[in-house]
Order: sequence, then structure tokens, then C-alpha cells
Amino acid sequence: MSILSDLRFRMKALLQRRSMDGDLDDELQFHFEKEVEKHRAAGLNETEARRQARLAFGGQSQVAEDCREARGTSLLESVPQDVRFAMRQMKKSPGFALTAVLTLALGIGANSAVFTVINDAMLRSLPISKPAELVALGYRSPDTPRFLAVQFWPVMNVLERRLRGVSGVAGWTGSMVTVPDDRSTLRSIGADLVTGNALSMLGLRPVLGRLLTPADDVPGGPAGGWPVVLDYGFWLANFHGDPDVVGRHMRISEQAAVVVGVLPPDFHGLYVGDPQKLYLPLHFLSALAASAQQDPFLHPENLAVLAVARLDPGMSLTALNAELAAMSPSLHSLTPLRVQHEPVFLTAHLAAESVRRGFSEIAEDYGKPLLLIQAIALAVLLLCCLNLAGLQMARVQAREQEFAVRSALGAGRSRILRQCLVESLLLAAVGCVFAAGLAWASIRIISGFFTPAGSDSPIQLQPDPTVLLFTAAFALLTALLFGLAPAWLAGKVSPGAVLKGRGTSARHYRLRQRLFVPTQFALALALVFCAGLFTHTLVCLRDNHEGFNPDHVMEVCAQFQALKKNPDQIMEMYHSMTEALRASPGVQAASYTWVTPLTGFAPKLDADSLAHPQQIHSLAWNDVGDGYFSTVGTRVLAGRGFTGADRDRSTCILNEAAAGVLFGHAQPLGDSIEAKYPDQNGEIGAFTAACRVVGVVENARYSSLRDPPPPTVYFPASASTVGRGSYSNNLVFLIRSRNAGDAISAYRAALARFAPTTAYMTFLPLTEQVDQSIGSERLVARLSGIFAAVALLLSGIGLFGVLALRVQQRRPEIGVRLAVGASRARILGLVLRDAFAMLVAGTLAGIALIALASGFLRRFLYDTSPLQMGVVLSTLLILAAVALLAALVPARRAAAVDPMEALRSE
Amino acid sequence: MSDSQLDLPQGTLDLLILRTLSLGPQHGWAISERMQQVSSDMLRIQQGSLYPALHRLERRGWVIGKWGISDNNRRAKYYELTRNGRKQLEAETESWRKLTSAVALVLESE
Repeated sequence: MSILSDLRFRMKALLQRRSMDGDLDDELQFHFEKEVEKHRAAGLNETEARRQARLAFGGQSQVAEDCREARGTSLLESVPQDVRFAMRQMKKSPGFALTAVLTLALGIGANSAVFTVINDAMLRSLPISKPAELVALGYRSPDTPRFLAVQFWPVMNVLERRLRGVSGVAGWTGSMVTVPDDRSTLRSIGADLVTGNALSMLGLRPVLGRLLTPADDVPGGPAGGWPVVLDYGFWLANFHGDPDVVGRHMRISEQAAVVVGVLPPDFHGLYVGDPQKLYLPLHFLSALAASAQQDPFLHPENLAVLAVARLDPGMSLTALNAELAAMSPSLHSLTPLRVQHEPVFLTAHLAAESVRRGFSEIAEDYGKPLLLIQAIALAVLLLCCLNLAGLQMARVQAREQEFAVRSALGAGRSRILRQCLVESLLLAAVGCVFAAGLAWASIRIISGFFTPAGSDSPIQLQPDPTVLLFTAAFALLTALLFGLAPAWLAGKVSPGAVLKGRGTSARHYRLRQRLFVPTQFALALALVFCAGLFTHTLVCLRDNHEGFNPDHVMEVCAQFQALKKNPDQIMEMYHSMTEALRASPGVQAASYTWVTPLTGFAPKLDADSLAHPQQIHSLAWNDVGDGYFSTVGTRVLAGRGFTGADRDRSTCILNEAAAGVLFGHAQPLGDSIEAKYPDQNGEIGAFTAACRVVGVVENARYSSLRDPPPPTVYFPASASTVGRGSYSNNLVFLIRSRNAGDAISAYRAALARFAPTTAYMTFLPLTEQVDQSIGSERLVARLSGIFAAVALLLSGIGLFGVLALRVQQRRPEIGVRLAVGASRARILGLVLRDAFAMLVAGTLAGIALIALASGFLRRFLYDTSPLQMGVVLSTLLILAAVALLAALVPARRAAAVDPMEALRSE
Repeated sequence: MSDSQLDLPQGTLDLLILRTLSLGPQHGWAISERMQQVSSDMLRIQQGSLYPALHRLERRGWVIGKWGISDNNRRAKYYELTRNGRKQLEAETESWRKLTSAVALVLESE
């Protein structure tokens, strides 16, 4: 039998269903008549012959149904029937339908939302042509697991000429540029500066105009202004989607530029979630340089870019890596001196890595927490399934009569099973739609966790077809999970027993009591407990700002890179602006710093005390303005802080840890240290200074709240601080004021007075910087908290449902108990005991679950043991409270039963 | 029903129907009557099994149903063996023979 002919037969049978059903009846009727004829011929009278024939025949409709089943039409024709029937059932019990749909929407929506992030950051390919061919040419070193996605201009040029197996090498780098906003105020935005072949290598099709070409990327830019390609979102927001934008002139960082194209809407750059706004030729870097010395194209050996290439068809990444490794030694001398001496680069060799997915900071910083959150969301979904399975079972129980009648009328067991499944699927489908809506809405909130502090362009995450597929798959899985057990039970309904009044209720109830409700409690317990631990971790970390006080401090980064001034003049501006800020109303203290606290950036230098010059220590280091310590709230323990008179590296201040490391005691005042710090190219040891220690301050956590405060040396910010390169002109102002508004208006006024041509950046309270630095802990704590609340709600509903039904069924029994003298308190206790038993079973299972997961959880905890007593106790209390709340209503209803009425209704 | 009636092993009914139809087209009732006769009343086929089996065989393309006029001048559905059905019958008869002789050998061995 070929599948095709089988299908043809089935289709024919389906299309001619009506006539075939008639035929079937005729055929069976013919058989019946022949049977009657036979009995008559044997001498029975007409009535008796018919009776005998009917006895032998059995139920004609049952035979017909079996024939239809055998013919294969039954499945195709009965599904629409089942769907219509299921819809009628939903209409009949809207309360159940609503609960089910909302539960599903929560469970599936939560999973979809989390998956959207994972998909976007860790799974999805870039929306470019043949993304698998795209590779980055960087370095790999046995000293670090990370791929170093950096390339130096001279090396890249050699690679472009000599590397076989790739077609073309493109250079990418980023920069902040200024553009006037609609009120002509300068605004700082991110731009990608790329070689002329970079965009066309990706195979992008511009919506308008053209991409950049190699002819665009020339020193000084082509005649007519720097060509600029706009990001689609930037074009919408700033040019209102103007179709005639190509050819428009713009001023970018004081340079004449002309729009040549708009990129497609789905492309947001190589950095996932962090859309660049503008794409300019790489030579625009020269126009951005504050002075000729800082022009990267005059010193191309120091120009670092991201080198991107496209593999030739048939070329493998492994082969390319082998080729690069072979070329590596001969190119080492082309890397900048400062890099050649860096420990990581001493052992590094050229290597390539796929950039199919682009670069994602979310994947690097949040990969593991995201997987944890997905696991938690899955546990919530499981809980939803259990809850719905419980509800469905209750409904099967209530509909036992109906199933029994249908079974007696000839509905096969598989038909009833299917009917129940169709109902579940229908619910899941509707729930799925709501889930997609919920996921869509919550994506924005979740995205907020990943947006860097102070960034005015939020990370953008978008669901794609994969996410929709994932959601649908989960809906299907859920429907099977919560639909199968009740369907199986419904199929097992024995019509005889039910129609005689002896149902299977007791068995269903026991199953639910023994399995479903305690499992829900176990899951809820585990989730609440985890949320408690993560919140504890978060609180520990947030209060961990030993050595500085972030409250009421506002930070704002200066944008002085475009000012054509020498370092001394720039430093003079910082001094005068700070003085002006201090004199502003509401401002208590103001200063500036080179390294912003808690950004994870912690530059190091080598230092030794003059007494023990052979013992060299690697210390953290920062250049700060006068008044810095009082502004951030770091106490000076001995000596003094910096004053306006400290203007070079002849003086320094140590924190306690550094004093201990260098001198072995905390009173090094007047002693000197020798510091070997990097020059403007970052080469350690290029400059050596003997610095007199003028003060000791308390230890403060700087780069991160998780790490203990590093031994730190502070120098006065000076001309050499801002001379280091185009961006080191930008120090960060810190302003302590009673309220945020004072700090903002003070800064705006000072800027207008001293540097009206520079752009402003976002103001960021230092407390937000603190929050941002513990972003992954915040994400885990917040989301696990929300999921735990959902879990509690669901398990409460589950318990309530079981008990309410139970009380309903036991009404007659309770009536009898009351009639023979049981007190109402006793009845109340009866129901509560039921609830308590389920709670205890669930708690024990939950504790076992936590014990299993504790090793895994430990990785996400800080200063928190998995057996934090406070968390354990409050989890148990919360769970008991929810159980009591859920049980109280049915219990009181049971206690309020009127014995007369209950007995009469029996 | 008499004790002498037998339960058919799974799948045997199809074989018996095919065998009965190999003698010529028949309607359902005649098939069951003939089987009962030939088996000396030991096999009595219930309609509840017979008709679903006939429809299953028709779907598989081993028999084909055609409406005709019965001996008492009524509309009846006659089933006829197709070429595939004849092949199937040969194959199944062969394997049935092998099976029974093998079972007999085992049962009669000492």
C-alpha cells in the first residue's frame, strides 16, 4: 500500500463523507435484514427474528463508528467537531477558561521574554548576508580564555595583502561624535568609523542611497564633506523618515558631512543591542583628533581597530587560524611597543573568530544569570502546568457523568482522550497569544537591565520568528503536559459505575492531593527560597560601598575632546569649572576624577618604596582633582587630601592597603615611592616618578563591589592626565548636592560659561552607577522575585481549588458530622489539617530540591550561604501564610455548612 | 454461544476474509455465513469486527467495494479481491503455514 493511495482514499472518504455515511448505514442495514431473513427461515416469527438479529448485531452506531475509524476519516472529520465542542465548553465555564488562559500567558510569556533576551544576545545571527562567513582577525593567548578582538593598523594592512582564504579585510572603530539636536544644542552620540569596504562586505542593502565606498575613506574626506550613512532608527527619529534625506548636509563634530544612505531596519551594527547611529569613514578619526600629535593616521602603529573579514567560500575557520598562526611570528614586530610588552601579548598569536552573532556584552556579562533565569522561568511554567492539570482534573471529575454517557453511546476511549486534549490545546493556543503580548511588553523592562548606566539609548532587544516558534512549541508542550493526565483519567471513566452513582472522584482527589498540590508547593518553596537568597546577595553587594558614600553624588562626563586646547589650558578649565561649581547654590562639594568608580575599569602601575626598591608591587591607580575625597565621602586617615596646589606627580596619596603593601605600616607620611606608570601609549615604565606621600585614606572599593578594595595610589590630576589621547581630555565631574536638580543646573551654568561649544552628556547619580555595576545580581534578584510571587500565587490557587472542591464533595459527610455533634472548630480543623498535610509534603520535597540545586546556586551568591537562616525562616513563613490564606476560605465554608440543608440535598 | 467457538488470533480475520473473497466477490453477510459454514460453525464473525476489517482492507487497497444487486433484489455492497489483495493473500497464507507448522513442531516435540 502506498502512502499516496492511502491518502487519496482517506481524502475521497472525507469529501464524500455524507454519501459514504449513507452507504455505510445501507450496508449494515442490509446485513441486519439478511440476518432477520435467516432467523425467519429457521422458523421464528417476525418479532422474535428481529430481536435475535439485533442481539447478535450489537450497537449499530458503534459498528459504524469503528468502520469510520478503520476507514481513516474519523480523525480528519472529528477534529473540527472537537474544536467546536471545546469552544462551547469554554463559553460554559468562563471562569475556568480565564484562569487557564492567564496562567498560561504568565508561564509561557515569562519564558518567551527571557528567551528573547537569550536569543538576541547569544543565539541569533547578524542580519547580514551569509553571516557564518564573517570573522574577526584578532589575537588569542594561552593566558586568557577570551578572544582579543583587536587589530593594529600596520598588521591589518599586511593581512589584507597577504592573507589567503579571505576576501578583503575591513577596519572598524567607534567614537563619540557631536551632532546638533533639534534645538541646536550639541549632543554626543556613538558613531562607527569604518574603512570604505566595511559595510559592503556585510552585504547590506541600503533602504535609501548607498553604502560607504573605499573612495569615501581618504585623508580629509572626499570633496563636498564627509559622507555619512545613517542607522535606520536614527533616520526615523531625527529625520522623521524623510525619503529625500540623501544629500542633506549635517554638522558632525564641527565637520561638514553629507548623508549618502540609510541602512536597513534590522541591522543595528556589530554590537548586539547597542545600535550605532552613524557610520563614517575611518579617516574621520583625523578630524576628531584634538591636535596633530593625536591624529591616529600620523601614528598608525598605534591605531587599534576591529578587523573584520569574510571567509572565501569553502574556506574553514580552522584553516584560516592555521594560516594566521603561521604568519604570526613575522608580524609581531609590527604591533605597538607598549603592546609587545604586555603580558597577554607576549604569548599571543594571530587568530580568527567567527562574528556570526556579532559582539554581545550581554552574552559576556549576563550569559550565566540568563540561563539561571530561564531555568527559573521553566520551573514557573511547570508549576502552571501542574496547576492547570489540577484544574482540568477537577473539571473531568465534574463532567464524569457526561463522559460516561458519551462512552455508553459508543464514543471510543481514544475519542474522549482526544476531546480533552483538543480542549487543552485550544486553551494553550489562546494563552500563547496573550503570552506573546506579555513577552513583548516585558522585553522593554528587561532590556533596561542591560542598558549601560547613563546611556540615553536603551539596549534594544527584539523578538524574531525563532522566539515565536519557541513560544508556540512551549504552548504545545504545556498543553500536552497539563492535558494528558486528565485526558487519560477521562478515558478511564467507567460508564457503568458512574451512571450507577459510584464515581472515581476519590481516586482523582487522592492523586491531586498526593502529587499535584505538594509538587506545586515544593516548586514554589524552591523559587521563593532562591529569590530570597538572590535578594540577600543583592542587598549585601549594594551596601558594600565601603570607603565611599554614593548618595547625593551626581557624575557627569565632560566632552572636551573637541576643544582645540593644550593640556595645561584644559586643566585650567577643570580647575575653574570646579571652583564655579562649588560656588553654585545647593552644591556641597565638587571635584573630578579620571577613573569613574565601579565601571570595572582599574588601570595599574608598578610601584616600590624607595626603602625597598627591589620589591615592586602592582597597584591600582587614579588621577583625581582636589577635594575628591570629601566629595565621594572617603575619609582621610592621616596627612591631607589634595589641594589646588598639587599639580603634578611629585605628591601622592595612598589608601591603607597600599600603605601596608609598600611600607608595612600605616604612617608613611613624608616617605616617598617610586611609580612606574604608563606613557600616553599605555607603556608601563615609560615614566618614573618619585612621589612624596602626603596622605593616607581609607580603603575604598572602586572597580567593582565584589572585589575587596585594591591597594591604590592617587595622584593629583594634571596636564599629563589629559595629555594621554583624544578621550582622556574627558574627566568625570562629581558633584555632591542636596538634590539632583541643583547639581544639574550648576553644571549647565558652568558649562555655558567655560565651554559653550561642547556637548553635554547624561547626568548619572552615583547610586545608579552602583546599581548598574551589580546589574546581573539585580536582574537575577528582581526577576526571581517576580517569578517567586507568581509561583506563590499559582500554588495558592491550586490549593484553594483542591480544597474548595473537596469541601463541596464532602458536604453530606460534614452535614452528618455536624448533626451528630461535631463542633464547627473541629470541621475547620479537618480542612486545615488537609491543607497542612499537603504543605508539609511540599515543604519536604522543596527542601530536597534546594539541597540538590545548592551547589549550582552558590555560584550566583555573594557573601550569602545557601543556608542563610533568615531566608530559610522567612521562606517557610511566607509559604505557610499563603497556604493558610488559601485554605481558610474553603475551611470556613465547610464550617458554615448547614447540616439540615446538606443532608436534605443528599 | 457454544463453547466450540474460537477466538481468532490478531490479524487472522484479515487472512480469512481475503481467502473467502478469493473464490469470488461477496457481500459482508455472505462472507460471515461462508466462514461459519466452512469452519463447521466454529468461527462466527461478529459484525462489529467484520465491517471495520472490510473497510480497513479497502483502505489498504487489497479489496474493492462495489455496489450491486443481491439475490433478493436489494442494493448490496460486494467486495472483490484486487491484484494487490491476491498477492497479500499468498504472502499471508505462506507465512501462516510456516507459523502453524512451526508451532505444531514445538507442541509435538517430546
